[in-house]
Amino acid sequence: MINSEYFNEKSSSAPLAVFRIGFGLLMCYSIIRFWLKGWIETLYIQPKFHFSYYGFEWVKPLGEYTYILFMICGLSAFLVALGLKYRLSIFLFFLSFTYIELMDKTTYLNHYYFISILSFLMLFIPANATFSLDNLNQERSYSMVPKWTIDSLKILLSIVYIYSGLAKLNSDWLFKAMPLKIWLPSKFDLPFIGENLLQQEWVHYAMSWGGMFYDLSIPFLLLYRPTRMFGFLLVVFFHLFTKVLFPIGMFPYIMIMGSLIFFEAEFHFKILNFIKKFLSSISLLKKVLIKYKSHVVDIYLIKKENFVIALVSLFFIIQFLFPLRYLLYPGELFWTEEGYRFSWRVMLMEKKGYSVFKIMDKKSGTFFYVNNEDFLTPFQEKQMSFQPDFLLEYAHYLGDSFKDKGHENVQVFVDSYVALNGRLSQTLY
Amino acid sequence: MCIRSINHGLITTLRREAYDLENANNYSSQGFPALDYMLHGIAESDMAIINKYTANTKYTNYLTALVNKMVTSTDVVINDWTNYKETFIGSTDNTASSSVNKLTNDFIYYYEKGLRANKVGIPAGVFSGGPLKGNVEAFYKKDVSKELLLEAMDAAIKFYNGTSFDGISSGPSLKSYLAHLNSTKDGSTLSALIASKLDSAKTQINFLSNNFVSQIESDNSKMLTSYDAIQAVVVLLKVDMLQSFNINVDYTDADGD
Repeated sequence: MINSEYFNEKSSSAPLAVFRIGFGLLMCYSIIRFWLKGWIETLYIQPKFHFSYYGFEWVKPLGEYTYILFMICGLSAFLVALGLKYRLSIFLFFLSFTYIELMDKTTYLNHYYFISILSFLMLFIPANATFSLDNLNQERSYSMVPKWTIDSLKILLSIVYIYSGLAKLNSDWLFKAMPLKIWLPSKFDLPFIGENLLQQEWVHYAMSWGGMFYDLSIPFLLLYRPTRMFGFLLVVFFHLFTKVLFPIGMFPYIMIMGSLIFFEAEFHFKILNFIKKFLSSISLLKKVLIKYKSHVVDIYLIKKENFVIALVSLFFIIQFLFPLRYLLYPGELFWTEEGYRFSWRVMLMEKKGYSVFKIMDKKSGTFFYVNNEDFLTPFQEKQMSFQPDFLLEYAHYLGDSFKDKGHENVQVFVDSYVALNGRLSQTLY
Repeated sequence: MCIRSINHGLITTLRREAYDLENANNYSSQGFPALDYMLHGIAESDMAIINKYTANTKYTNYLTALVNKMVTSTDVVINDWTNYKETFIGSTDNTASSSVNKLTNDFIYYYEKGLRANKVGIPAGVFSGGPLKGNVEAFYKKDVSKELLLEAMDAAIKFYNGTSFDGISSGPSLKSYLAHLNSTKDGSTLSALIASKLDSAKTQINFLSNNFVSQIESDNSKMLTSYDAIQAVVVLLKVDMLQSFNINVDYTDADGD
């Protein structure tokens, strides 16, 4: 299969250049934005305790050095945009970004996970083939790249859409319009639509079903040339609209930028020419750009391509299977959340919890309740209160800390009340 | 709030004779707990207390200073509200700094910490492994602890229901907003469920003795039962009501997805 015709097909390198520049700049901006909002401090330095991912308990914030980690991450993103030492930059970006995300699962977001695996995939993609500073250093650029490299980005984006569409095929989303029925009426302060449209039940249903059809159809609309422009306009509308409704940070921009990869090479040439024109207006850069034009080589050849293709294929097999792992766990997914993360389940639940921990002396039977504020930040407490794996990890941490403080025969109990999608709160444990 | 530390602070403040009630270090030597101590705690009997006041003017002076401070502080609050009223009413968005969000969060915070924990939980020993009867409200006067708790409970109920100060007329409230959102749960609406749980908490409190110190000594389980009844409402307010309103309980802004 690796030697089949498909893997010999070539395609213009321009889409990769646009993707690389867009990705690098957006990531660099994301890091700066994160820093300026003070989140490095509040999310990673202030908390005394951090919730770890299974198997990654060794990944912890680095105290004040956490800032250096973010600096490396932002800088490598910028170098990716420039296409300078691309392979090393994207590797550093992947490592630093993934490390940041693994430090504390309180901040888990699907789109952070998306960035991590996307940057991993980009390690194997010659996104610096054209329009990069590496071209100047090596005195050559490549007009063509293996077609599969561009397709792999399309596949990854399609996985995100299709799986989040499939996740919406559940009774709460389709037949109760939950959680949109909770979220939309609370946006009464939006101009024009807040006090009327968003209060209507039919709007909640329309948006639930519309969102489901959107997710499931968008990859096909983008792949099929006659519908591509329509699909892209939908992408822009959908993501900007959700941006207005929900605090989803950079995600909409990443998805809008990402979907450009579906367009033909000519479209990307236009973007690159526009950037070129803009840069040429800076006279110092003009000379450099003239030099740049003169060394175009035809085709970028990937070293050990068969091995790389095998690796990328394995990556995609994992991506196809991983979101389905919840099927192997017993219990109701929305309650147990086993297999919920890393599965493109976006905005599916409105879940709130309240969890009280009791520390009991096994022998004497005396007990007291824990004040969670003594150990967790408000954000951590909020996330801990309804996610079972957080509750368990926190309980162990409490047991250990009270043992360290000299308490004996420590037993930890929790009363956890959780409300899901408008159902009355019930005890989780 | 630990009563013992109040007394300790107050005694040192008194001994010094020169005191500045505006100083943050002296915050624990004033307010109602300090008044309780000054009127009922500085000697064994009423007669002995009066004798203390007649024997030494420093007691009268301090008591006067305390009361004056309470009056001026209250006046400041009233003035601030008079000026701020229109801004407050005009802030109708759903953001962390909007009026309804802040008021709702503050109400829950008061109900959970001020009412549930301070007045019942802490003295009943819920957070300490054993009762701390020195921490009951009005520790020196003693026979009004229940009255004070009931007053607080009534205020919470009226706030939730939107009952006006006159006790008769009513306006928009957390309850009516909940009813408007029509969050139907388990057959009854959430708005009614919370109202009825608030009433049952009040019923439990009514079973308590007027004097919480003696209640803790004779049968602390009644205190704990009241605590549980008050606590049942915390869950509904913090989880179910906030979910329906889509108001965040924390002010940490972080991205979602």
